[in-house]
Amino acid sequence: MIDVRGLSKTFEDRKRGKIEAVKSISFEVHKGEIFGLLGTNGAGKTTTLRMLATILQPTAGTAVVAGHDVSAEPAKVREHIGYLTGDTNLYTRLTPREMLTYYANLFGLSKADRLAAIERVAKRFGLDEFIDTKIGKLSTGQRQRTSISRAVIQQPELMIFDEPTAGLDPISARHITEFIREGRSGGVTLLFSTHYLREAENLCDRIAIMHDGEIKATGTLAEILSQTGTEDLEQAFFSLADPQAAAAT
Amino acid sequence: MALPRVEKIAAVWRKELLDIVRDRRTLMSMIVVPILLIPVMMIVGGVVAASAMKSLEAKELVIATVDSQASPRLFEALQGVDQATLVDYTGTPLDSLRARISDNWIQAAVIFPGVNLDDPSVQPTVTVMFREDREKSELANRRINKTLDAFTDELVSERLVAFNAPESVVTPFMIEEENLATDEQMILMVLASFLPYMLILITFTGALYPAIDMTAGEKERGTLETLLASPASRLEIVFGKFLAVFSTAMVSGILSVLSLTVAIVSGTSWLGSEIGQELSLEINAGAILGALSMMIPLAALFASILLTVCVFAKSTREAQSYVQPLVFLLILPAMMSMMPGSESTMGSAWTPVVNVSLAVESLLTDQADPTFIGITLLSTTVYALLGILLTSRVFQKETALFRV
Repeated sequence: MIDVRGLSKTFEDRKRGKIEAVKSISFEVHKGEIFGLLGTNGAGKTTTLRMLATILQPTAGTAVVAGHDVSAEPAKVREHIGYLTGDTNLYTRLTPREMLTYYANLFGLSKADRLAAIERVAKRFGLDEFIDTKIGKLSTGQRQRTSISRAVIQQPELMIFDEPTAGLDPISARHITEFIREGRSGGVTLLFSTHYLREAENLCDRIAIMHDGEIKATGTLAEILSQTGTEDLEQAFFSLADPQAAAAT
Repeated sequence: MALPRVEKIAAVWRKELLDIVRDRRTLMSMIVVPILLIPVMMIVGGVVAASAMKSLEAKELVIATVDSQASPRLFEALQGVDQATLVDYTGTPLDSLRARISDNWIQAAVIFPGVNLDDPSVQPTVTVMFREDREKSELANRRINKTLDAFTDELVSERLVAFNAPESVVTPFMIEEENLATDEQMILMVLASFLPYMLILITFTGALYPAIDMTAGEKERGTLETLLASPASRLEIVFGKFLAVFSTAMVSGILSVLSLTVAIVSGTSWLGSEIGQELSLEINAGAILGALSMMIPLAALFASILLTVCVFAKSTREAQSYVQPLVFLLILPAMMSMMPGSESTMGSAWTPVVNVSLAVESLLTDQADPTFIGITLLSTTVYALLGILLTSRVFQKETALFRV
């Protein structure tokens, strides 16, 4: 579903000069798999996901998402993905129905398909009680449900979630993790980034540990533990991300 | 690159308009300011100015006279100055007199020549002291001059009789002015010089908040990222946003023309002129439509410039600081219709904003030059297209969209 080869991203900053946010990373995400990018803040996770969602252009390397190259056919890629960030940033002056209508229109759904899609997500995520209330008046949890509904309005075969639970209260975060678990049974492919070790451990079929723009290890939890010779993900993570600190403990 | 799809552009446009009409700041700048604030300002301003003028006219003035005994007839004439009290300051040093005028104790002083003005063999000087920068003092000077002019006419007539000479000796011919402009046309001239300025400025401010909200606002709220991950291309997003900003600019422009016209006409009527009511029937609807058609490319130009500038800002506050200088930059060219002697030359036809200001004025006063109007429309359309091109290029730039 996703094939990343030597993907890099360099930013030019007037003060700091060249910043290599992502350094020639490679990994694959198979169909129906939940794949986690685990890393600290600034590891390059968001930049990687933004490149795969065609929001940013790679500086080097290739990435094929849902059969389309992110540089050559960005519009085709976007038609196949549902993209979500943990910020639950929505148009506060619109209602969830208006917001969902907007995105359904951007995905080119016909009126009948659009109405059916809104009904489907409203039922699935329990939006009915507030679907015609302005988003600005909704609680964080209600916003989060609206946000997920927006990301899946076109029933994407691949979902890319950038730190979907970051900064959320436990109940709102649970909505997301439950949704990810359910996605697994529905055969949806999911790539998400997180800096929560437990989240990666509990949800992912495979994990890539990112640090300083590089992928340090990729595989199932067992494979990563075997590669690093550690007993749990926390030890494995620190041995890759901060070997000196790991050695000291 | 794939061609932009109309349905995607329309989706962005519809959503942005819906979002805009629910934003109080935008509603203020787009509807409340043109419909209510400006007419109210104009009418209140007119009333205040009229009442200030009335109160100035009613002001009591103190005029000093020096050595008035030698010219009793002149003194008698000066006693006829409207709303003035004459106070004898004979013997007061001139510097002291000047100081009193400066201190506003007295408003003016008339220094008599010390000879009898009835004697035609001499041509003495009457000195009037006043301060032009002081309203009351200047008013005193005007009233004194009026009285002195009347007294001079009286003396001249007496002397002509004494010399047995006809009036034509000093007045070889009479002048009769025939102003062909009707009251309506005179008011239209005022309207035509004022309206383009307001129209341009309000069209710009109508576009301002929506442009900020759709770019820096979207960045600030964090909604831009998910929008960019949708199937709409950057070009489709830009065109949708551009059309929404353009729409609000046009709505503001149309509302300002309508409200200003009504305000000026009804304001004129309300302030005592009877022609206001008639004028409302006589304003050329074609000229108003022509003026609005000039605004189409200009609104497009404003929309593209504002979107281009605002997309660089990280927050709405930062965007506001970017557009502030643009407002000041706009004021002078927009004021061209109000400048005396400004002409519709070929050079000005290619100068953005100046051309529209002059073209709208010429349309309203029925003096439009088709070539000038044509070049204005053409050049503004070209600038607008260049502006849209620039906007779409800027929207492709990651450095603008994701500035850190």
